[in-house]
Amino acid sequence: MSAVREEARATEYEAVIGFEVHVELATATKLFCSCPTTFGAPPNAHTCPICLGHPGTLPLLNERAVEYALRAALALGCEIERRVHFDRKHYFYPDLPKAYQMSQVHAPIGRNGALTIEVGGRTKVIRIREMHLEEDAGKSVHLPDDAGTLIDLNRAGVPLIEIVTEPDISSPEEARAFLEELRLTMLYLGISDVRMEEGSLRADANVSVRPKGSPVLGSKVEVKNLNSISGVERAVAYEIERQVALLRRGERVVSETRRWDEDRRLTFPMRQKFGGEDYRPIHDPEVVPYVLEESYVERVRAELPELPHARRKRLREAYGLSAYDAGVLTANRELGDLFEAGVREGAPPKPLANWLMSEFLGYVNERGLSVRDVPITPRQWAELLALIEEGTISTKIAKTVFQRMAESGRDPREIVETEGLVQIADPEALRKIVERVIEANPKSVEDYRKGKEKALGFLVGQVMRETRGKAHPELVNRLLREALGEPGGA
Amino acid sequence: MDDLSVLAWRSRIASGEAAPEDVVRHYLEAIAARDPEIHAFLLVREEAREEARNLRAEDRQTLPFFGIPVALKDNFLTRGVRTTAGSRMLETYVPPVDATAWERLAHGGAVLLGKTNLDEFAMGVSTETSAFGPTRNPWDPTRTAGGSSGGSAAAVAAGFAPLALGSDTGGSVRQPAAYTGIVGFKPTYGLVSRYGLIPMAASLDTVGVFARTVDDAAYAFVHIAGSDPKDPTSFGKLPPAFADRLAELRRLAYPARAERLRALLSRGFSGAKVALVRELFGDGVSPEVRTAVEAAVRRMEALGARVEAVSVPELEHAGAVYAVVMSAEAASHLGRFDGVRFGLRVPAGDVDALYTRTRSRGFGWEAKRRILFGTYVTLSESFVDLYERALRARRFLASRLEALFADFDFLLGPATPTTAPVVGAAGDVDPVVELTQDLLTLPANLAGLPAVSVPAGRGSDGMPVGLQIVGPRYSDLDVLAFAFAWEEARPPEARPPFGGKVPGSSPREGGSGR
Repeated sequence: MSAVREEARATEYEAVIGFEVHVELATATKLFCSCPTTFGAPPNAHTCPICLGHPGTLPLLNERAVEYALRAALALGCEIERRVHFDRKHYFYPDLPKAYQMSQVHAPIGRNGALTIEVGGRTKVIRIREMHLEEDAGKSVHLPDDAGTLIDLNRAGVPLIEIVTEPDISSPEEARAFLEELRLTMLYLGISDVRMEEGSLRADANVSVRPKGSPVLGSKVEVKNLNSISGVERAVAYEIERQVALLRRGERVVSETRRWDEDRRLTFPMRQKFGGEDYRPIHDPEVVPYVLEESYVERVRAELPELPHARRKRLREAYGLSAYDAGVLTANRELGDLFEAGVREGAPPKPLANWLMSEFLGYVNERGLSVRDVPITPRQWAELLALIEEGTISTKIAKTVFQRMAESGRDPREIVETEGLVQIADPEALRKIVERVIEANPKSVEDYRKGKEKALGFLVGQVMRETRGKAHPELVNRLLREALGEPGGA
Repeated sequence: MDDLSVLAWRSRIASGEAAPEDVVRHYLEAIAARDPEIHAFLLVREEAREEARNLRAEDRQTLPFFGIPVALKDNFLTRGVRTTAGSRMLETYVPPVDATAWERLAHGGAVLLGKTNLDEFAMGVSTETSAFGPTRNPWDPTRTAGGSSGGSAAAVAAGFAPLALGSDTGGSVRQPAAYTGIVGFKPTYGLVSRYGLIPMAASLDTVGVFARTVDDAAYAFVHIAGSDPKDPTSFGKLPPAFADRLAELRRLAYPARAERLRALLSRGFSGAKVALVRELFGDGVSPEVRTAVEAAVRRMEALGARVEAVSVPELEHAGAVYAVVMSAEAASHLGRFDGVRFGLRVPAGDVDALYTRTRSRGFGWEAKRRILFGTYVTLSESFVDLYERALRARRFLASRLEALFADFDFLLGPATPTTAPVVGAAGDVDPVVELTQDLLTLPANLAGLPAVSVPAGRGSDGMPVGLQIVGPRYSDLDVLAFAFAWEEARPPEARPPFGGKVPGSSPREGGSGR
């Protein structure tokens, strides 16, 4: 009781959060049979005697899944278990065909890793306790009105990795940043499509709170059913508040499993299915232990791509980009790749980054495309930016040119030439048009001379209209001022 | 006609003296006449006649099993043919795939004669735990045929089939072979694919062969052995010399060359170094078994074998180690029988009740006992003390046996402590007593070693006695060669009276009591 009272007296609380994240590996086939893993097939279309658990059938280990798991473990800086074997976790559930789940209980493939996250401009290291490979279970669909339960075993046997963190996360923002960074890392590794809404990334958060500075951990609540990254942030925030409120009132936090309701934005207790589970894990006698040779591990390590954290750092340092720009370019691996390829073709980094992040992403998002769907090559990007830089086209025209490029994949220089979009930067050619505009708009000329600076803008616009936007705007500005003399003058 | 072996049938069929349907008819008639008394079969396939007729005549020279009827223990999956594993749980189960071992025989032209009786899920030593009643010994139907492959052993011994497959987890091929006076061979673990064998304990299970002669057993073994992409434990990591010899034998082992197979197997005893393991001649071994086996050993010695007594005291714990490992795996494998996807379902209001009722009704007492024991030894509070310890002890035991093979070619001993017990005598009471029937055979399973039981002679009760020969891993062909040498060398009085004229073959009153 005294602990409870002490907690109630505390004015400041801190949260202690850990995650268990399941990531579905994007292998073509299941972990122990050759059934496809594609999402969205009719129920039980992707099943065979092996994943249905028929007696006498034997598991055939998918070595690609082991490679993917190894890639993830190395990327997370884990120590690698060299002898891969599987254990059977026993429990009865209708969507678990063999009544055991193949997992790595005794020897996870990775241990003692870490993931660096960035929150509010500072970095933090989240320790990874372990990472293991296991098979997914199927799906039970409970019909309304107790009309029965249907079972879909398409997912049964699909390879997953489970990543378990140490309780190093202390805020909803960090929780979000952790999951985003983990998700991005998996994408960079090319081992999962990490779509939370399709269940290929599933996160459970373990949340507890305690008076700030207390060495004792509070009661742990496991929050399940988190199916979006913003949902995770909201759920963790809700749960922290709920627990703090309980403690402030002098009540206890019950250690339990709760579900997040995204619509109502709250957590509620889940019915406990098992009390004091004992999975009785035994070494699976049907899968031959698989030894990861040193040379193999080193080869996989050498083939690891640059990871998001390193890329952000490099983009800032090598190209002088802001943390924000580096973040945006890294968050979309293909966008970042396009950026770097464009720079290699000679595009100036900062302007290219701006173009990609505003005009290009806008175009892509508006149309629901992905980066690769747009047929503009890095060389063409460099060319477009060169056209702007050398003054051949204005920024405004460049936007038109970009639209044409995105639609057709044609070279920008060719578009500019065939469509006559070259900027008119010849003072002699423009001077005639300027004179014509002055003559045709005496009212505006007068307004300008009376000191209405706005009138100059109108006249510039008229010149641009005459030239169908091709006139060099700054030059037009200068020529008009020259022709009209200073505002407020005689 | 009665005592024809596989190889004899093969040459007759190859030469055109006999047609496959004649062979099948011969065996179906034998089954019809005497199986009601013996109960070797759970399912007899009349379709075999037509399948035999439909074989393509031009394959009769080239296919190794062309027209040979085969009986399969009913824990081998047969696509489209009911497979029960001797359990109510699978009483109506029709599997979607074929077991690889059977598939290889079938591709070789073999005809499936029927599915044979077994202890439920191969759990037992007398075929008395079968949900469908016991199998009786063709030599004396008051006695058991042993188990768990009792149906397959009885089928071959009674002349119902020239060849049968069984599974051997702790002796389930060698022990019934010994009780029924035939050859029962258990290969090195992993040499024959276990795909499609309903597991009892996967780390111990092997596919074994029953035949009336050693060369028949070898003939079948070389055809079913070898890596199978469907069974990772059979993946090709064979020692190259062994793989070459296996391939050579497989090439030779076609009907026209059966004599060559015999020649390759026949190596005599000279130079063979044999260890008699004291612990395998312990107090439990009955005088008649001891006498018969000792006589066999003396004769081998006289013919040039060097025999020496050794002691492996650790074998004393083999039974306990086996019980823990086997039941832990067995309990695990049996979880899938939950009434959800296949097999028996006893409807119930909720899913927990569905499991409970289905499993209560579907499993017999032996399966339940092993599930409970296996569950117990793997609970977190006993895991380290029992399960992990047993695994360590198993590895230690295996290394002790392996070390023996530095000095010896074979270990020799009785296959069973006694001759076949009377039906009902084992009683459904003492699992320890039951285990002792396997005590001499299970060390080979714990260590994954090849072993054969070959008839040594007969006890004073007139019942057959089996001699067990165990070799190091991948010495399968040497073990068979040694058994073949014994088969050739044994005195006439030690030869089993083959030809379906075994004692007790006359129809008896009372038929197949349960």
